[in-house]
Amino acid sequence: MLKINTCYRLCRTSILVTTLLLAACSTPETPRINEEVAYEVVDMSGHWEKDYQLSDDFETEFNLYLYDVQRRLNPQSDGLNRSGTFITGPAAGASMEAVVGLARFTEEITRMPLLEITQDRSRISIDREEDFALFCEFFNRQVASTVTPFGTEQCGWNGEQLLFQLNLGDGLRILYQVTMSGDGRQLNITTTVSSSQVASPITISNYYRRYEVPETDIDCILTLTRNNVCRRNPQQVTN
Amino acid sequence: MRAWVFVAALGLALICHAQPADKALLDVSISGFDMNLPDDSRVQQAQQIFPAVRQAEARYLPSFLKLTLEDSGRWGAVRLLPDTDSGAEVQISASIVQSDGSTLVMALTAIDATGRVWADKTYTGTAMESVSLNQPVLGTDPFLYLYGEIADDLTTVYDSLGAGDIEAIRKIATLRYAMALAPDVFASYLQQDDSGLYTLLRYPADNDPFLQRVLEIREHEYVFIDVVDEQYESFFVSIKPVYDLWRRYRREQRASEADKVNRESQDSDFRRGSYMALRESYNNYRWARMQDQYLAEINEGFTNEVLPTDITLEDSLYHLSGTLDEQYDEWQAILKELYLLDGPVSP
Repeated sequence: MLKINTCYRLCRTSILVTTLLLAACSTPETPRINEEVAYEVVDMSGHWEKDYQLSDDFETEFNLYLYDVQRRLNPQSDGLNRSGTFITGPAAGASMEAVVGLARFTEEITRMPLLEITQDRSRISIDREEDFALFCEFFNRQVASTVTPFGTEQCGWNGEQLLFQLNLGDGLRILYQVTMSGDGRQLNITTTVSSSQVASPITISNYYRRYEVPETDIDCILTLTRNNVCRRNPQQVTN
Repeated sequence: MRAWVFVAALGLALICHAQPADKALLDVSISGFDMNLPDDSRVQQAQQIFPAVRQAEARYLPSFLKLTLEDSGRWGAVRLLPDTDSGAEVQISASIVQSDGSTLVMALTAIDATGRVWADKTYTGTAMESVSLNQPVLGTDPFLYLYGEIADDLTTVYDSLGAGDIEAIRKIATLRYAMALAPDVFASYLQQDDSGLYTLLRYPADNDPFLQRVLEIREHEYVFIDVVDEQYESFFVSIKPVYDLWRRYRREQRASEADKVNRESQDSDFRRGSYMALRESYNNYRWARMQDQYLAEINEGFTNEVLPTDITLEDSLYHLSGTLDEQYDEWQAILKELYLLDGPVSP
């Protein structure tokens, strides 16, 4: 299993590096959100916890990313000096701050250790700890847009993959690609973050596995005057 | 407490209106405002309409109008209902044409029981920037003057009517309520012309058992309306800080948008593309989305506010469940059933 995982991680890392190298030559292609989805969407609802073993190790990805960026900033160099540390001199220029800033920011927003997904036929909500829920209303299976003064968000399905594209201030763009495995036991969220100040986007892939929360016979709803009103679910009690 | 704060905000102008002694006060029924929400979410986006906010506004705006009318001291009971009131003396309905925090446009109609139109007007207002939204007070609002304008328009019509007109409105309101319960019994008392205006042909005796029964039923309905009213008030108190926050954020955003060109040409607080700049950008958006989601949560809480409602009536306990709108419909059906089943009581 470990071998498979190691191989799997190496393969994915290779793919990432290849992707980044290709990105230097061409504009990265953003997955397109289908205007119309002609089939049932997959049900991702449930509780999910991060699988750290399968998920990208940020430090590794960060180093690869820096290496790639460094190479492109200074094509004559292999990106490393003799001591194996990154070149951070004038060759890197002022953009190094932006590169590091983008990476640091990406690490922060991709932590997401626990997710709770609720979904019905027309909407999905991915609740994340200490962050806003990624919410998509795909009624009529159309692309949904959210416009706020601070940015816009588009969401929709690309086949069985759920996409959220955020275009925020300061040229910040975040793409979440949410994919569930065929057996419904694993979930992948690939996050691609780009900034107008950095040529290459950074991509982090996180895996999640389902976990069950203990069943309760208490049903709660939120009300205004009495906050949460809870009552025993008679069916659960009977069972 | 709410009343005195509001009175202070309204100023002396409204207080100083003297109520003529010979004219009865009219009750006002306000129905929840029409959200005027486009079905297509893309149109909503284009018009910058946030469904959760608009849904809250459909309850907030009539609540504030109710406060305004109550505190003017020129009206009898002012009731807020999920739907139109079949026995309203003056019925106010409105549709939200535009509401973005800086501009409020409402298409409002006010019609009395006779069918006379008191107001059929689009009220447009710009938010008073001087009204602070940082520490919101329940009785203040950036559009306070607009509600005052509506109140003034209604008062002008009221003042133009004589005591006889007012009395006719009240009687016709009672009969129209009675007609909704038992059309066969009460239809002959009123005449409606082609333009929809009602004329009082005759009026039952004060001790008419049929009328007495209707009045009893009406009293029962007031009990339910009071319960509904409490829920609206609770919603208003809960939503106002959130709604004010939203408006504050909209206000700040408008200000920042106005400065956008300048800001882009000048040095910002953080270097473009830096960690702090990215974080600031994300946090702004996160805050906006969380506010939106919190507002939706509050709104869902209101919808869930089914209590459920228990009302004792005629020695029976009626248990209502469902949303406010559903409860109101259910209650109307119960009252009608009661009237039909029990028949008139002896005077």
